[in-house]
Amino acid sequence: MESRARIKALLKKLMNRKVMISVLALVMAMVTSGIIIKLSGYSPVEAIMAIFEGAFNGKSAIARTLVQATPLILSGLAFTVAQKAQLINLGVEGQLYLGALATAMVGSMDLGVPGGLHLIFAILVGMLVGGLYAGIVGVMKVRFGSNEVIATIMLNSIAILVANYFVSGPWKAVGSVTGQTEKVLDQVRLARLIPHTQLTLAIAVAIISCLIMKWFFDHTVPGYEIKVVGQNKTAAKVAGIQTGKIVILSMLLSGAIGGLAGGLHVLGVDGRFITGFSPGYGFSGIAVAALGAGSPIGVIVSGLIFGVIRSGSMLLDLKTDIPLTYADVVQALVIIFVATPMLITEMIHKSKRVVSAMNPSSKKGEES
Amino acid sequence: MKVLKLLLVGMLIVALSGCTPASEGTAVEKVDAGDSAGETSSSRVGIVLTTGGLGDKNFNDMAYDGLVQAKEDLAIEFDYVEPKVVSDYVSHFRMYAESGEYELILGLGADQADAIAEVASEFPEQKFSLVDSAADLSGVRTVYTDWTHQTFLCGVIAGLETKAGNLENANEENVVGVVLGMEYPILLEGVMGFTSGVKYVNPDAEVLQATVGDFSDPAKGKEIALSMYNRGADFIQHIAGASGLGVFNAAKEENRYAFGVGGNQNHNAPDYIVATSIRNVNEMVYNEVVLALEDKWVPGPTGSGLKEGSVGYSVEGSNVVLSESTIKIVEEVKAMIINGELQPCRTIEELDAWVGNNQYFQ
Repeated sequence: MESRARIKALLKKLMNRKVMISVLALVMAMVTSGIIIKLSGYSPVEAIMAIFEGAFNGKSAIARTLVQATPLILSGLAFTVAQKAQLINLGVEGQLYLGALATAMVGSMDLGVPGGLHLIFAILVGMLVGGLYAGIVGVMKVRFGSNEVIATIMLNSIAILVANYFVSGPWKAVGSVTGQTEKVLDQVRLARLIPHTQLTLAIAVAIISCLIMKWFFDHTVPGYEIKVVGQNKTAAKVAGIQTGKIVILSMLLSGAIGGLAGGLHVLGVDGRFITGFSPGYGFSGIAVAALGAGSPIGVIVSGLIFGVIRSGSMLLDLKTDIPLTYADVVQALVIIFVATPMLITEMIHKSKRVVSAMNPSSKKGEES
Repeated sequence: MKVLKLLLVGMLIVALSGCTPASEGTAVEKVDAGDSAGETSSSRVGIVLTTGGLGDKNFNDMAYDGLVQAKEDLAIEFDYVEPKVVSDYVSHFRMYAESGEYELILGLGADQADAIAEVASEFPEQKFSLVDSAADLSGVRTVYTDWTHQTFLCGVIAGLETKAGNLENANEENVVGVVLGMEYPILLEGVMGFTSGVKYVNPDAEVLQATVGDFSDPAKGKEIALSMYNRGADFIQHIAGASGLGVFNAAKEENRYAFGVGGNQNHNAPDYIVATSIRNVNEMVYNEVVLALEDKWVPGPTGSGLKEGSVGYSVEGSNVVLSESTIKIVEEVKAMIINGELQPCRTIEELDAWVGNNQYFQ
């Protein structure tokens, strides 16, 4: 009983430290990007104001923010799920592409089934394709010992080029100049929650997916096994867990979520697969996952934060000379700072010492 | 280990985001948003550029130049955005429209048609113009250029010079060529414009034609051009985007001539590029601003050609010196098209009949 309580307290402490690192990393990334903006000759305060205005000012701004956040949350979740088994899935972008293409193709075919069924079927096919594409890497890793980091990142190029070939060639919409598939049927499109915006139920699906994955990791045997494999593969093997199966399962799940991100984008935003529809959502997912501190709930929060930055930087681009690439800069900085937790712990330590030096009467600072 | 992996990932991300087409490289100055109270009377124009962004030395840069010109001449203010993905077009158009501050909202390129149509349906009072699209969209003015007008005059130059053989690198054979990027119907009109231009002054000339199948494969463009030069062609017009750069390389290698297309390309190989079949996107953009300011703006598709000055030929920047008689004939033909006496041929089916009916040298 006592040891259980102790473990709980320990977990809580760990969580807090992780959250602390994320928050500080975000703050430092914003400050650093502010310095970059200042050095480029603009006012960081104005930039931040423009971002907030662009992200929150009015119904359509908020809708745009949520639309931007949707694929980020899902690709962040995809990365997190693989990470739980200590796998780095850098192939979310490719899985998202193939999932989007599969959903768009199924969605544009007249299957003679009612709309709701058709929609779910289209999404499921997208998830299946994305999952299998990532599953290949799982099998490669288990059977042939290949490195999943390299395999997934290489498969991205194949997925993107194959998808582009199909939509510029055999599956290209009739009469279109650019590479895109036919529009999906109206009955398959996600209904818009607010008229004159692109906001659909996709954001709800993204958030629910995170909640489901949290439940999956906390309350199911396979979820538990994934975590154990991630924490200590040898111990998992000794405990009788079939680690190979678990590795493949996590890749399948991760890829399926990537495929879901692509499928929802097709049915919610574009209504078809368009060449180059993703500005690198799959890669942004890595930053989302890093800021989300490896927790599905954290991913929701960090996905929304990145959604705000992306949506806001659209207005930033319009109002100032700072291009949309600003969002990528923040993203990269977040990863750098999250990946250097020592730097942040050191900073916390130092700041405490500074505080205690300023109030010599308080001994609390020195102790910690 | 985990930290190391994450660091690796972080560096990858930085590298990847570094790969996205840099827009900050162009030293363009953002026009001030007219914040001072005294300027509130000036009209504002907003433009959504293509995903190619500024610095493409072509479409986007030309549109930008047109707006800079409009700012100087007409005292307007303008804002621009450089979208990263096609999916964001709608958001950008809506942002402009919602602010209600813009006299005119401009789009560029046929792939913005869906997005601009969607937003235009929500803001019927707002003026939207889409440059380089012939789509018929409710509430949107679309402007497209006449490809036959664009390439006809370079065709005339090629027809005259291949027959005369006076230029240093021209040959005896009465053969010229066109290299096409992809067989889009609208670009095939460009081929017909060039072909009918050649045959207008030189009915016996053979016009070779080939398609690269790609707008960004200079190596293949070069191979095709080389085989054309080997078959006796001495002038090649390309309509092939970046694949056309291969045509220029082939011209240099074989000591033959080529024609550019779009923005003035003569500087690419001034000794070998005789002229460019030019399309002035800047003029098109400028005209839209003028129409909006003068309240002459009306929705619907509008074609523009030689008469409007949106297309034509340019020898500026080329070191190839054309004879006075050639220039004289080209200018004469240009005037005939402008005043409606002559219509370039538009389809291959009509070509033989057209050549029979239209001849410069009777």
